[in-house]
Amino acid sequence: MEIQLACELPRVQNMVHVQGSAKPRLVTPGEVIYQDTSFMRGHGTYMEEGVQVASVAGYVTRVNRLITVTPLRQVYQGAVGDTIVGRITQVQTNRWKVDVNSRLDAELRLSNIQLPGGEQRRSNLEDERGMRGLLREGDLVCVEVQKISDDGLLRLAARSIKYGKLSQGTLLAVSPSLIVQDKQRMHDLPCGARVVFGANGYVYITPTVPQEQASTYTVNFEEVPVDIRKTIGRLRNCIKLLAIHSIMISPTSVTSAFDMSVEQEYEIKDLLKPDVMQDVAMATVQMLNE
Amino acid sequence: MGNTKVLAAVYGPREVRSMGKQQFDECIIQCQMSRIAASQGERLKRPTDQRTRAMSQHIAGVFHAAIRKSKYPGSQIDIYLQVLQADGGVMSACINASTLALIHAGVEVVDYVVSCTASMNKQTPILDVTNQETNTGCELTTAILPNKGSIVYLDTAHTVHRDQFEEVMDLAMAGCQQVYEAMHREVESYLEDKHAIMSHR
Repeated sequence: MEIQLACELPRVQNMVHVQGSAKPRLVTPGEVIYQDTSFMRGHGTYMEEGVQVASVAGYVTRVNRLITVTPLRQVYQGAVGDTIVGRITQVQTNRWKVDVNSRLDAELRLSNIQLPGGEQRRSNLEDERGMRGLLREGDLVCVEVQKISDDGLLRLAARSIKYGKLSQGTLLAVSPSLIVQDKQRMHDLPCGARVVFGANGYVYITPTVPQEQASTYTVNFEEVPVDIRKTIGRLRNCIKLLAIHSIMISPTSVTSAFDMSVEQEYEIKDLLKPDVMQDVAMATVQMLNE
Repeated sequence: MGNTKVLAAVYGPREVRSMGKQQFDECIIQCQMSRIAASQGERLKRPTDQRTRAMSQHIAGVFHAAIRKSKYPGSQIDIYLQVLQADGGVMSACINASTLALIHAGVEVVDYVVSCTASMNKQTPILDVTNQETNTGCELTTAILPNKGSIVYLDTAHTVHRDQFEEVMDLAMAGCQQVYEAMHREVESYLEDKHAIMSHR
């Protein structure tokens, strides 16, 4: 048996060279950004005694007169139109509460989902009673952010064939800031698995399924072949190692990390070792550079 | 800090887990501190006791002053602390570790909270005291917001003479500034490293 001590990862310095001179300003909490009072204060800043002070550690962005500081890690803030993955935490009357890695649990109303049978059917008392039959606590759903209410509560919707309950697969939580902003969130990768990159940092990996039966509220308990399960495991470990090394997660980076790990003939379980992780991460960055 | 080692973890801001505690205009801050059995000279019977509970309360109080609570209405922030080795200045180490954990988690804070201890040995004031050094004198713990210049926590274990208090206090404050400089440096280099990788596609 092999035993390794869990220790701090060695800092990978000079892994990338920043090109260009446009290096943004980095600030830490309590640091004065501008003495000027004419700027508007955005997220991550506050005014005190006429000066603008940062309240998070991150980089400064300036749009006209608006100053914001964006931290490198934070909980999901939410944006209308984002495709996200969440887990049902509560079933209430008329709505579900969904954990979406955000400040508050999001809300998914019964009227905002596509009910089984019938395209534009109004929900009735029967549906209300059978809510737990559609989605119960612990189920994973893929939904869209429809609206953000004043107090920051996210209202979700699943009114399209793309969205709905996720069946067999594996979930991985990474920092939401590592997910590359992209129009397309669901990707069928060439290695034979479908990956949903939720904008909230929840990544879901499933076997590829035909589009027709993609989204229903029934779970398919058919056994997944071993080789697909292995692919999913390898993908999961690859995304994990990219996240640990703070490499942006996109279909391209995941595919190259996957190919790299296959090419170097690492076993799936070996991908969890710190030195192997670093190896693959470095190789991926190099591959992306080319 | 010295032989004192503390692990800190921050969860949240997230949905309030316990019913009835939710506040609608700001977030609640919970802190739980535990000590491992072999952290001190004598083996501890249980990880949490009256003393750690009191200290957790104090730490939560300190961060009430630093976290911008109005930014997270209806949420909760949890701070978990584990003392691995205790050799004086446990409270200070806990506060410093929590500050770094909060900054790493991207929680909005007014300023760093930095803490340091000081004591008096006969006539000489000493900084960042160990367990042994507190046996002979007092242990003054203070936490400040370095950029604001305000004190958010002050505690003395054992008595300190009134004439000596000023001197010990000044030293502790100077110690806090040193801690701040070290922490600031570390956070900046961390930021630079991570930002370089993350801005890279």
